[in-house]
Amino acid sequence: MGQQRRSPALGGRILVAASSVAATIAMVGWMGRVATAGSDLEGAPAEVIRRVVVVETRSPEPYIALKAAEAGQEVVVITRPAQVIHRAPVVVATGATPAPVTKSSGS
Amino acid sequence: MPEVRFAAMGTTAHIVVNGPETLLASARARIEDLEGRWSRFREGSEVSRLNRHGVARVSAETEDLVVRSIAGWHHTGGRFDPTVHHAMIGLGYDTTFERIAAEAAVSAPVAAPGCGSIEVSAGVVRLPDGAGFDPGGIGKGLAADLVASEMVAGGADGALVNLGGDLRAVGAAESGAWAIEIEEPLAGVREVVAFEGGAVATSTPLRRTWIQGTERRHHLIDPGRGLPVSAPPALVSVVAGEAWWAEVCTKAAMMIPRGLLSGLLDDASALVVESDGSRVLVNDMERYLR
Repeated sequence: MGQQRRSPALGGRILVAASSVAATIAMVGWMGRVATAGSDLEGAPAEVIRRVVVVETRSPEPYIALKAAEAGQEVVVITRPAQVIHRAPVVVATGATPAPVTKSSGS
Repeated sequence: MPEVRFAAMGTTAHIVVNGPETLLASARARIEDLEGRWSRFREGSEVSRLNRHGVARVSAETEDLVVRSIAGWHHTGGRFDPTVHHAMIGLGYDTTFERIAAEAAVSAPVAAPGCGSIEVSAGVVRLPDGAGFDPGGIGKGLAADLVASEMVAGGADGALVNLGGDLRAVGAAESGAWAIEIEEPLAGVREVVAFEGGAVATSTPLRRTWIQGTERRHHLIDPGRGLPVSAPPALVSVVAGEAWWAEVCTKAAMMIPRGLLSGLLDDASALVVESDGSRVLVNDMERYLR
């Protein structure tokens, strides 16, 4: 499941886990139960899921999540190790402008 | 170029393809498929299930929609906010726009809770208590992005998908650039933008208006107050690489101080028409105007 670290500030109660594989999710229960998300998440008791905190990080390292855990969160889920959303750029027109094909009239 | 228009997502869809005409039918089916997942007015949609139960297992497309919505909320400091769902309902926009009662019932405004506590993992979305999710414009934008890209992947040289003003063009038009007219007659706006690939999203408080009590309402909601944005510009039109992002920027631009607008528009440009008719061009918008 990738890297796993214990948070010394929490006495080892919380385990923060991350994987270098995109879309792999590690869910760690506050009682020390380690569950892989996906099928396990769906079947997990509501009180466990409610303790999950999604931490957005652009780093594959669990450092940011670890800091959040040390700040008092009880359970940490690292969703995607690299949650950068890449966006396509605009390609600027260089030639002659044709007649409009459609309207953006707003809603 | 072959094209088709039809009603979808509470507006008019317009698809143009530089390629096989047969791609229009599959594009239309895909838009209807996405509407079936994202409509807040269809009982069986993934978004309706999410709003009904507070948690739902969703498709990859819907998870992507939620993740991008959260990203937009973060980027705009909460000005773009898909959790205005309950505020919309409180204002009377509780059914498709065509069916809103002539005079919607009056109720207290509901501030949007924001996206900070939405949980997304492994195809499961969980909303915080009291939150609802309204894909609104970002759903149209992302649908335009997905369908235009899929049409090019399916063999088109280029495709343009326009969902009520949220549009995306991928690949080449027959004559090179794609030209799009930005029009709002009430605001006196008639402009043409052109690019060889990109997106436009346009919003105006002058359309989709209704009466609630003694107040005229519009659909552009200030999340913090749960009420329509007060004194908004007459029109904001944003050019960006992708339509979902253009939509995020457009909504946020409706309520951000003008001095902060340039910084908000990350990789995007804007035309803002103020209510007095004055125009502001932001981040080299001149590059696209013809």
